[in-house]
Amino acid sequence: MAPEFQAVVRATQAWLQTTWHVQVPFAWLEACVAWLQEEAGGAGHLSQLQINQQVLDQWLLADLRDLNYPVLPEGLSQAQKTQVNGAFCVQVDSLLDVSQPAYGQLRKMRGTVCANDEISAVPQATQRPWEAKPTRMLMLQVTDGVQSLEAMEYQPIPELSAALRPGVKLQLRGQMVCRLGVLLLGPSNVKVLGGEVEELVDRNNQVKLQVSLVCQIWFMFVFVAVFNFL
Amino acid sequence: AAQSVRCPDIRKQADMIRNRAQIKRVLCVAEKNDAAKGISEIMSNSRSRRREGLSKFNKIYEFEYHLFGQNVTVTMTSVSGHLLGLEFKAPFQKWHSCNPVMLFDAEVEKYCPDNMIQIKRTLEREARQCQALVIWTDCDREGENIGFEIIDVCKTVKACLQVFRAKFSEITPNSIRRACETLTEPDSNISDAVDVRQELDLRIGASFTRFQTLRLQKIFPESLANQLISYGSCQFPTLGFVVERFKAIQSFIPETFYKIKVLHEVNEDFVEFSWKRNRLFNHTACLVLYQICMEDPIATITSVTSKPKSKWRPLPLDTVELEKLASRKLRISAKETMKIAEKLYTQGLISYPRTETNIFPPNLALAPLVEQHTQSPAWGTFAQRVLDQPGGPNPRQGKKSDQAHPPIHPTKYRSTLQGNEGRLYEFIVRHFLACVSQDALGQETVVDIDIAQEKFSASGLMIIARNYLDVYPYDKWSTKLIPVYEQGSQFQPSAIEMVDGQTSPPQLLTEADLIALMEKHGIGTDATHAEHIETIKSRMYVGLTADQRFLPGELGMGLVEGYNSMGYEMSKPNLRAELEADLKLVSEGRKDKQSVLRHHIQKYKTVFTESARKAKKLDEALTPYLGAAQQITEAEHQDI
Ligand SMILES: [Mg+2]
Repeated sequence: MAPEFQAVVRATQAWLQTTWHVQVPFAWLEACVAWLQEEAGGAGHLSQLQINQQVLDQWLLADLRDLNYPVLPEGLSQAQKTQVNGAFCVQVDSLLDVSQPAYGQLRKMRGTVCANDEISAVPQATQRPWEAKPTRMLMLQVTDGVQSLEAMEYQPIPELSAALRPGVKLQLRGQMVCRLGVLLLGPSNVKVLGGEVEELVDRNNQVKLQVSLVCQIWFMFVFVAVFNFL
Repeated sequence: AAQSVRCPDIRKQADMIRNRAQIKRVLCVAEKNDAAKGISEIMSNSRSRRREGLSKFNKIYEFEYHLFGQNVTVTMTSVSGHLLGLEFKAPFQKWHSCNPVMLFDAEVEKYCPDNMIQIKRTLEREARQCQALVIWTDCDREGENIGFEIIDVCKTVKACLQVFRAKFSEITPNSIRRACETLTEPDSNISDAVDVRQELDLRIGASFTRFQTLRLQKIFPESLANQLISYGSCQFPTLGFVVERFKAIQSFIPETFYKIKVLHEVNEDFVEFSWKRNRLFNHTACLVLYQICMEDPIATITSVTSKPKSKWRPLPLDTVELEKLASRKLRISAKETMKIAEKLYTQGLISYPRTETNIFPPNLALAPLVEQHTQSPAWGTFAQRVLDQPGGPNPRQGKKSDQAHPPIHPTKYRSTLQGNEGRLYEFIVRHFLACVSQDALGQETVVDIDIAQEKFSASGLMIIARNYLDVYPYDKWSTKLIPVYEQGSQFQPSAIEMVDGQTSPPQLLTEADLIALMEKHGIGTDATHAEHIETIKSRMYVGLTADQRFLPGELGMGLVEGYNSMGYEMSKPNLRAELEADLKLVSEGRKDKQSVLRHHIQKYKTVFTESARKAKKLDEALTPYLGAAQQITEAEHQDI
């Protein structure tokens, strides 16, 4: 490889690292820059600034599994109780609000919620009046491409939403506790970088994820239903 | 109506006044014999002469009265609800006489059923002797329409009768006297709305009923050979609600949740603190938080707040609330409730029980009504308390008014009622007294604690003044003691537990739920909810579980599924709700009778034609419940 090309790649590597805390394998970066330059009609058509930005865009849309480059401390998903400190960029494979039943969320998403179900002449005493409305708690399945683990919205994080696209990239940073293999996140620990992973969007979008979750209990339920009603 | 042209046409006010001078004898007609008797008793000061009519259930009461500024002789009698029925003309009456689709256009006529003939003859005979007719039927839509039936019958034999309408909400001296002083004209718009409903119900009901009965009897001869499978545009949406809830329960998927519970023992009593996060549907997430709490299990009291809390006294009673509350609190069905309420009304004990109003009109004096009840050994003391409270009776007010009747309230004290009649009367009285008394007052204390950053809270309630609760045993509110906690102090919980539970499906509908749904979607009116529910029960479309909840039967399920699969929302409320809304416009004179009729006949006819075309879907939907469908030939298919 030409030394100029190497210099461009190194400059991008440094920019990703210092600006975004994004770490990628050097070989992937080389291939990516080469491809971008070729697409643009040869070296010299793109400025360093343009290359940096376009590489970041590629990374945001990549499945980190393909990059195979671990950044999270080893063994974190097995940790009983530990603390981590630093900045790690990860990909969200899926997420679910665990403060609500999945069945209700699924129906809301499919638009099959029926207001008549809530009609009851007797007010339902599921929640006592002084109890606060439960706050959302998202459980995120995250991966650095090598190690997968769960992260929970321990304190409300306004930047997150249940509508984030599967494969979206996050920067996790600062002091974080990890218990039973779950990272506890607060608002200062999360920065949403954006992006998605096309295959994850297709394969693993929210509705499907929840269907599968809901399916686990389906057979047991059918049995009960038949038993009760027929 | 045929006119016997012997009298001049009376229109102008001047004529009216001049003609009033010639009124010697007045025919008054009430909706039921009981009402005629009660009204006569009041108007005659219990000095009426009773004689027989041609119908042995409808007596004639005669007395002198001062009306139209002069002394007249009053002949008071009654009908028994509707005097006339609506039917197809003879060629279309037999089930096999025509293709059911023709019933949307076939000619219809009003006729007098056999059991009403004697009443009609009485009216004809008496009308001939009178110069004026006063309609005393119930002041609601049906009553107005019955009034016009009476007018038609009487005017046919005596065209020059002057006709008046008495407006009243109670059979009490004040109310009856006021009605006599403010006689008005009958309202043909209101009556028209009933004519439209009757005609649509007849056409829609007969066409679909014949169609589905004839077809399904042939397809499922073993299960349905002798069964009438009726259809009604209110019945089906009502049935639809029952099926919809059943299916919601069937398709419900229970899920496990976890929560953290904190207990604190104080003087051998346990205070339970509940988690601000309420519950989590993920075991690991909950376990993580539980472990955090267990590592540092010291509770810090972050706040202790105490604020007044009141429990509101009930709103004035309208029909739907009466039906719902009687069903829930007294376990009396809506149908029976209305039957009893009508009886109490005709006896002058309560105001008219068909009302949508839950605001007491300002001119209705409440104190005398309360006063009557001070003699009761059961609630007399409370009634006196209401009179003594500052400002006297003070009703909590709702937002609805039908501009016709006040909320349901007692009009007379009676201590001798028995059984359900006694229980319902007592409920209406207690509800009324509760509504005009005062809210119950309490003081609520909420204690918030923090354990390793997880938040929990407990609450206590001190009842300061029970007020309306003293007369209203149907509401419960109880004191919950909580020890004194001090903000900033700490304690060691007696236990911190992680517990699990499961989400549960909605419950099958109760009658009260079903009425709430019908009201929400505009199916039927407050006057007809109970009837429609009764119909789907009597057709075996639905059954009742041991705890009085509605369960769809096989036929009911199959029919709803069948029509749903055709893509028509026949078991959904929309079609009927539009009709109901149009009826209201007709009754207010804002839409014309004929155009509303035409519009809805056309709409239902289209649905009918399509349903007949897709009839196989009905067979398919019923097959799982009733066994294999009999194959029929295309020709036979055309036939039915
Ligand atoms: Mg009536």
